[in-house]
Amino acid sequence: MNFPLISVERVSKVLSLNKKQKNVLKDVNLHIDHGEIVGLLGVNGAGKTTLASIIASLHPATTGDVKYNGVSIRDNLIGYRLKLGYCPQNPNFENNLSVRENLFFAGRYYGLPLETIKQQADELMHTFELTQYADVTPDKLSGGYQRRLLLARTLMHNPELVILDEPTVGLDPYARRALLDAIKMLKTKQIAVLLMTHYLDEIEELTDRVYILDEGRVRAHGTLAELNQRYHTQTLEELFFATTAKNIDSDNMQLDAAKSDNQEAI
Amino acid sequence: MTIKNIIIKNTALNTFIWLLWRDVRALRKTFINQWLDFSFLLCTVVILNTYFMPFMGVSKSFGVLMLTSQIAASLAWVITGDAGVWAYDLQGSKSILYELTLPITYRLVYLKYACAFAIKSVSINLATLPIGILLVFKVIDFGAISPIKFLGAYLLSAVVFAFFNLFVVVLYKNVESYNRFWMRWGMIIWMFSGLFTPWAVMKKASTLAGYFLLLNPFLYIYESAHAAFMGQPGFINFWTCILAMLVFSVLFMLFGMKLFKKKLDCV
Repeated sequence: MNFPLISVERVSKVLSLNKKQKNVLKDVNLHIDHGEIVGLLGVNGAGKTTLASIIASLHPATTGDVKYNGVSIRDNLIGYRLKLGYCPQNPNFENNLSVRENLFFAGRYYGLPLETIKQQADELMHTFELTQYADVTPDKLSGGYQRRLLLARTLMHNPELVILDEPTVGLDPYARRALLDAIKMLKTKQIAVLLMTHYLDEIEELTDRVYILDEGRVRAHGTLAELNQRYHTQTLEELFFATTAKNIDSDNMQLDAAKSDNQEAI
Repeated sequence: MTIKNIIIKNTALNTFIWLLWRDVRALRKTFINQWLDFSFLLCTVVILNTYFMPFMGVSKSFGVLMLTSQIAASLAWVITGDAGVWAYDLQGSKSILYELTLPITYRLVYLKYACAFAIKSVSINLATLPIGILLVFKVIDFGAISPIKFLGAYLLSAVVFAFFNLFVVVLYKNVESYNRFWMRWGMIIWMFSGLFTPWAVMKKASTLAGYFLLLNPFLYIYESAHAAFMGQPGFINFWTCILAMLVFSVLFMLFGMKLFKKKLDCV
């Protein structure tokens, strides 16, 4: 039986905020296939980061499960993490070490042999145009190069799944383009990507499928063509507005479509 | 245990070792400056207590007591500072989240911080000891020093301080609360820990207070250091101190890990 690379099954998350319980994820279903780029869209507070952090095995789900190749990640947490690359929104390097050293250690954490690490670090620094900064500490790099280094570090151990949390926020157009090209390159290497972003053009350009999350629920999912057809929209922007909270309550048809989306994903 | 489990355990251990080594490597950039900082502090404390305080009637050997105390106190200073930075990170950028997505358990990540804090503080402060010994050369009783005991107690002291500080960080909500703990409670614990006066003297002043102070984890740090450096008479039995430090370390570690998991809601 062929399992998806990742399947999120009926995941809910309850958080205590100011002594009040808040349901930030409600019965979420999602799957990512091998080598697929999946976009995760939603307004601020929709639950994107919480969902990504559960998939990244940072936080446990309150109910439900995340499976990797059909096996619960809780049953083989370390094995799962060996195949996972998490690229957070904010750079978190060791700033007392150089770019090369940061990559070296990133390889070591995953038990790669020294020769492989050297080769991989050189290749990634070349790919992300970091070679000239190899001996510089990350805090001396511009924002764009820091993001490139983050992605390079995430790829050091050849993960099967990369989670990218708003990778292009605050970047100039050149840096952004370079990073988007790098994400496209991941697809050619059969690396699956979960991309969280607020930039709709990035979703349109990069992703195979998209999940629209709103108030902790998956409101819609599928390819853009499928979704536009289902919701009678022309663009991703129209689709986004049609499926998120402000409109959904006033349109029962759309809500039904969203419900059927959620059921299909189970 | 299956082969798969052995491999997974080794992977987590491998990650632990490399994370720790990364932190030790990062220390080389700041080592000289921090060594100078603590050397100046040590010199000031030792010179004041060995050469100035005797004019107020204090024994010259008080300088030796303060040398030992200051070496151990500096351990706490380094670790408290590092733990403060960690608390700030937990509240803000949470760079620890990167470590928590690596192939390692949260317990080992926590343990890594304790080890890194302890190694850093020991390496900086132990390197200041020769300067301190030179300053009290004329009044020190070299025959009373047990280098092996001192080193053992010193390493364990750093571990106690590390686990204690990590415990306080995860116990409190934010950096402000952590700082407030040190100003309001930490200083009291510290001042009544045998830093200036051996436990026997405090007990002599008040038997009740003396017995109450046995609950102070820092007491065993200073008493063991003094006993190893100045001889056993006048201090709590060295091995009792070692046992107490081990017990406190384990307690702070276990409770700290539990709070750490709760605070970060980690898997």
